[in-house]
Amino acid sequence: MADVAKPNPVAKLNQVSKGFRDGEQYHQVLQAVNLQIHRGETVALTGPSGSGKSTLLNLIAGFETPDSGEILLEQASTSTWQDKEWSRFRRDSLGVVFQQFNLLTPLNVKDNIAFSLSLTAQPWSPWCDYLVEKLGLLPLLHRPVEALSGGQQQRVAIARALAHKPTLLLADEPTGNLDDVSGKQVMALLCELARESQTSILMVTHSEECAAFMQKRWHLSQGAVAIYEQ
Amino acid sequence: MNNKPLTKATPTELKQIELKQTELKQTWLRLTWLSLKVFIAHYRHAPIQAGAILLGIALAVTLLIGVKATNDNAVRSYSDATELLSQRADVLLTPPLAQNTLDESVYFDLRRAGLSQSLAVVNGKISGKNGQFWQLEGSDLIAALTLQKSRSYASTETHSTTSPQMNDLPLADLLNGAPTVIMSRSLADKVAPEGKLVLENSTLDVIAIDDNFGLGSAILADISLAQQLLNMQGRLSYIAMFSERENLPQLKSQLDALGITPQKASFSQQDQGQALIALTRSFHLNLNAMSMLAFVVGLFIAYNGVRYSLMKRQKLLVQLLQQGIERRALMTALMFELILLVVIGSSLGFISGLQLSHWLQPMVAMTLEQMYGAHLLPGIWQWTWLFEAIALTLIAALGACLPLYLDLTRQALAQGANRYQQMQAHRKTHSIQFALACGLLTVAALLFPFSQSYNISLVLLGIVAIAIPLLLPQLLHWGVSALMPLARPGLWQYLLAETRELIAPLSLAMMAILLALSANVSMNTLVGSFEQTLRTWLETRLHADLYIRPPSQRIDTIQTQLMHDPRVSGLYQQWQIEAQLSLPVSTDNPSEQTIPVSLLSRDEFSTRHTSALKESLPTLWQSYFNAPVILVSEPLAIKYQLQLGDSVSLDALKQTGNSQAIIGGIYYDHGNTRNEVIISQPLWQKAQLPLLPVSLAASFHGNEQGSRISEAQLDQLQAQLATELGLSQAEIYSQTKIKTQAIAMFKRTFSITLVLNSLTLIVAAIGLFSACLMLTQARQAPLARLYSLGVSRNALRAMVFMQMLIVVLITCLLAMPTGALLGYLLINKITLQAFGWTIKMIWDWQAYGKAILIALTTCTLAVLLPLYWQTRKPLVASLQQETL
Ligand SMILES: Nc1ncnc2c1ncn2[C@@H]1O[C@H](COP(=O)(O)OP(=O)(O)OP(=O)(O)O)[C@@H](O)[C@H]1O
Ligand SMILES: [Mg+2]
Repeated sequence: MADVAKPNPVAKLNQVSKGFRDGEQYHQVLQAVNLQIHRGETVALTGPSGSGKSTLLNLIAGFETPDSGEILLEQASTSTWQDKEWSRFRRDSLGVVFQQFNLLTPLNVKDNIAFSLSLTAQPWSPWCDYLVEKLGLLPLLHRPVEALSGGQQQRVAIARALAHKPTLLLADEPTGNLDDVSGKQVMALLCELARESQTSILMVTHSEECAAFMQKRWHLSQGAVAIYEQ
Repeated sequence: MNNKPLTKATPTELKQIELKQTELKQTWLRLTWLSLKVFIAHYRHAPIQAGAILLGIALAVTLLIGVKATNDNAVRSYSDATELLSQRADVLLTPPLAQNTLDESVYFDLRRAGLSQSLAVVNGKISGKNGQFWQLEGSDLIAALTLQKSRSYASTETHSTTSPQMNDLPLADLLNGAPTVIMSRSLADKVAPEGKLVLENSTLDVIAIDDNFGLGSAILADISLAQQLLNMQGRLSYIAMFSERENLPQLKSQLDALGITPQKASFSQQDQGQALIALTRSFHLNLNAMSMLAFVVGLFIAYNGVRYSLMKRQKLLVQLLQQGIERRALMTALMFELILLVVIGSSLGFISGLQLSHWLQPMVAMTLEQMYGAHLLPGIWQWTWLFEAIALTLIAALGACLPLYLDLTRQALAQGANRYQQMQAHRKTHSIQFALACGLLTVAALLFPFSQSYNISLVLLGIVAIAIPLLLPQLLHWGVSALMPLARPGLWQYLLAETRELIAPLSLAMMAILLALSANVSMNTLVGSFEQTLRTWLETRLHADLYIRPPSQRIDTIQTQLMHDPRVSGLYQQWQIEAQLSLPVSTDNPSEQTIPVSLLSRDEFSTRHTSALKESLPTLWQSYFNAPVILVSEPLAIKYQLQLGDSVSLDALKQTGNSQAIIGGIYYDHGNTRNEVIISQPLWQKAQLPLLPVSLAASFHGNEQGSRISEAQLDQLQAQLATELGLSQAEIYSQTKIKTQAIAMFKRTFSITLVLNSLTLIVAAIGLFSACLMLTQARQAPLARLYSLGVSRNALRAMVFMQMLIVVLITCLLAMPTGALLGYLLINKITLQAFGWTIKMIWDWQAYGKAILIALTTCTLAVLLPLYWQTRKPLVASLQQETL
C-alpha cells in the first residue's frame, strides 16, 4: 500500500552487483542487490565497516559503475548515460555529503554553498539563509574552508548539498564529526527538508540515534541488503 | 578511517620490512635504509615519476656538458694548437712594414748564425677544384722535426694526452719534393677519400695523419712545395722562433747583430693564443650563458618531478613517521634518493652531452673560423666534467628541493589543515620576490648610464634576466585578481579562485619558461636585426658589378687590360697593407698603445659613395683628399673609444714627415672583427706605400646608354673575363655572389647560437609540459569534486585549459617586454661593445609568435592528456587522490 501511494521511485537498483579486484584477489561487495527509494522517503543505511555502504552510494551517484545490473534514476535507466546525462542529474537532482567532505578549497564557505546553486543558475535564497543559520555557519561565511575544523567543514558540506533542494540526497556519515547537539540539529534539518521539498534521503550511519530519525532502515551485510520499515 | 594503501604494493613490502626491523637493532642508519627501500618500491610502481626527474636532470646536464665540452675544446685549441709548431712560437719575425712577405735569406741568416730554434713558414689561401679555399701551411719539415723533439721535453704538461710523433710520416717522400700534402684524418676522409687533392690545378697526394696532431682544417706541406703552390718562391710569410721569455732581450740583440733590422723583418712577441682567447671571450660567454639557461630550465623539470613525487608520497611519508621512523632518517633517505637520481641523471646527461658537443663542434668551428680565423682541434673530453656536472646539479637540486623536504617532514602527523597557512606563506614569498625584483631593476636603471664597458653591460644583462622572472608570480597574482570581479559566480569564480592557488606551484616553472621565451625572442631579434643591417650595409658597400682579387704579381697586367676594355664603364681599386696605429698618451691612456690595423685606400669614387659612414666631420670631404685625415672602422673606434677629431699616429705615414692624422669619419664595418683604417690615395702615395692595388672592382655598360648590365649578361661576361684574364673562379666574384656568400657566412656564423637557442626553447617546452601535466594530475581530486557536483567533463576540460591559458598568456605577455629589453641590451650594449657593430633593432614578431604557439600547444597537450586519463578510471579513485 505504501508503494501505491508513492509510485515513482527516485532511485531503483535492479540486480546490481559490484566487486573489486585487488591484484589476484577478487572480492564481491554487492551481490544482486534490489532496492528502491521513493520521493520524500528517508532511509538509514547501516552495516559493518567495509560492507559496501559507501560503494552503494557511489554507484547511485554514478561515481562507480556496477559490474552488472541496472540503476534507474528518476525512472530512467542509467546504463546508457553519458557524461552529459550524469552531469545534468548531479546538478539538478542530486546532493552529496561525502565521508571526507570534498569541499572546494579555493572558495570560501559562502561560495562553496552557493556553488551548486550557481551551476543551475539559481540565486541565493531565503532557504540558504535558513540553512546557514540552522547549521551555525553564520560567523564562518567568509572564511576559507581549509581553515575550518572537521565538524565545521562537515556542516558546510551539508549546507552545500541541501542548498539547491535536491530530489535525492546521498549522505555518508554526515554526523560522524559532530557533537550530539549539532548532530541532532542536522538530523532535524534533513527531516524537515524531506518533508517540505519531498527530498529522498539515503544516509549511511553507524549511530542508532541518527538511524531512528529515518523512516526506513537498510542493513547491508555480506553483499545483501535487509530492509526494515520503522 | 580510510586505510587504503597509497602505493599498491607497499603493504606487503612494509610488512616484510617490519619483520626485518625486529631482527635488526634500531639504528638511525637502518631506518634510513628502510625508508629508502620503501621509496624505491614507490618508484617501481610509479616509474614515470622517477623518469620525469631523471629526464630533467639529464636534459640539464646534456646542454651543460654539450656546450662546456665545445667551449673547453675551442679554448684549448687556441692555446694548445699544435697546428704547426709555429703557432706556439714565442717570437715571430713578420714581413717588414708595407710588405706581405719577407725574404727567405733572413731565415738562412738565422740558421747560419746557429739560431736553430726557428722555423720558416709560408701560408696562404689556395683555391681548390670547386672554387673552394684551403689554408695551406708550408714549413721547413726538418727543422720542425728537430724542434718537435726538443720541445716535447719542455712542454710535456700541455700534452698529457697522447702526443703523436711525426716520425711515422713518410719523410723521404715529403723531403724530396714529391707533390704530397698532409692533412688530418677526419678532413682527408671528407675531401680526399681517394688520397688525391687538386690544388691550383695540380694533383697532389694526400697523407692523412692522426687528428691529434692538431692540424684542424689546415693543409700542411713542405716549404718548397708550398712556395711553389702559393707562388711565393724565395719568400716567407713569417719565421717562428722559440725562446725562453727571459732570453728575449738577448735574442733581440742577436738579431740586431745579424743585421735583421725592422727594414728586413718586424719582431713581435707571441701570446700563445691569449689574444684569441680574449677576442672570442664574448662568443664563449654567450654560449655559456645559453647553456646555463638551458641547465636551469632543465633543473626545473627535475624540481617539478621531485615536487610531484613528494606530493604523491605525502600519506606514505606520514605513515612512515607514524610507524616510528625518525624524521631525521626520513630526511636522509630523501636526500639519498635525490643524490642517487642526480648521479644517474647526470651520467645519462654526460653521455648525451658529449654526443651533443660532437654535433655542435663543427658548427662552432665554422663560426670561429669565419669570425676569428681560429682552427679547432678534434674533441676531447674529461671525467672531471662529469664530476663537475654532478656537483653542480646536486647543489642546485638540493637548494631547490630542501625547502620541499623540510616542509614535508615538518608536517604535522595529524593530517593537518596547514595548506591554508602554506598558501599565505607563498603569497608572502611572492611579494618579497616582487620587491627584490623591483630593487634589482632599480639598480639596473641606475647602472644603465654607466654601462659603457662590456663587463658592466653583461652585469646589467644578468640583473635584468634575474629580476624580471622574479616579478612574475606577483604579476600573475595581480592579473588573476584583476579578472576576479568580472567573473560570474559559480564555475567562473571557482576557475579564477583556483588559478590564484595554482600560481604558487606553477610559479617556478613559469619563471623558467619566461626566461627561456625572452631569451629566445631576444636572440632571434638580435640575429634578425643583424641580418637586416648586414643586407642594407652590403647594398651600400657593393656598387661594382665584378670584384677581382688576382694573384699579386698579375694585378698590374689585369688592371691595364681592364682599363682598356671597352665594356668596362668604371674601374675601382683597393690598396691594403698591415700597419700600426698609436693612440696619443693621455690621462686614460698613460702608456702609448699600439694597435695593429689594416690600412686601406680606395679610389675616390668608392671612398665617397660606398663608405657607409656612421658619423663624420662636416668638412670631411674638403680635407680628406689633401690633408692627413683618415676614416676608421666602427669596431676600431668603439674598442679604443676613438672620437671624431681625435689625433692618432700611423707608422705607415712616416714617409710623409708627419705620422699624425685626424679622424675625420667613422664607418660601419659589419661582420668584420679586424681593425681598419682608410686613407685617401694622395696620402697613400705621399707615404710611398705600394702602388699596386690588391683588388679591383669593375662596372660594365649595359645594352642601352647609361643602363646597368643585366644579371644574365653579367654571368656570361664573368665567365668570359675569367678565361680572358686567366683567373680562377675563386678570384673573380659578382656582386650578387658576394652578397649571397656574405649572408650565407653570416648564417653559418650564427647557426650555433640559433641551435642552442632552439634547444633551450625545446627544453623549456618540455619543462612547461611536465609542469602542466603534473599539476593537472595533482588536481584530480578537486576536479573530481566538481564533477561529482555536476560539472560536465567538457566544462572541466574547458576550465582547466582556461586556467593554464591565463597563466601562460600572462607569462607570454611579460615575455614580450622582457624579450625586447634583453634584445635591446644584446644589440645596443653587448654586441656593440664586444664587436663594435651598430645594429638597427628590428622586433621579430614571427619569433615571438612562434614561441607563444609552442607554449600554448605544449600546455594544451599537457592539460588534455591527464584529463583524458582521468576519464578512464572511476570517479571515486580520483576523489581519493592526493592533492597539492
Ligand atoms: N576502489 C576500490 N578498489 C578496491 N577495493 C575497494 C574499492 N572501493 C572499495 N573497496 C572495497 O570494497 C569494500 C567496501 O568498501 P566501502 O567503502 O563501500 O565500505 P563501507 O561500508 O563504506 O565501510 P565504512 O563503514 O568503513 O566506510 C571494502 O572491502 C573496500 O576495501
Ligand atoms: Mg564508507
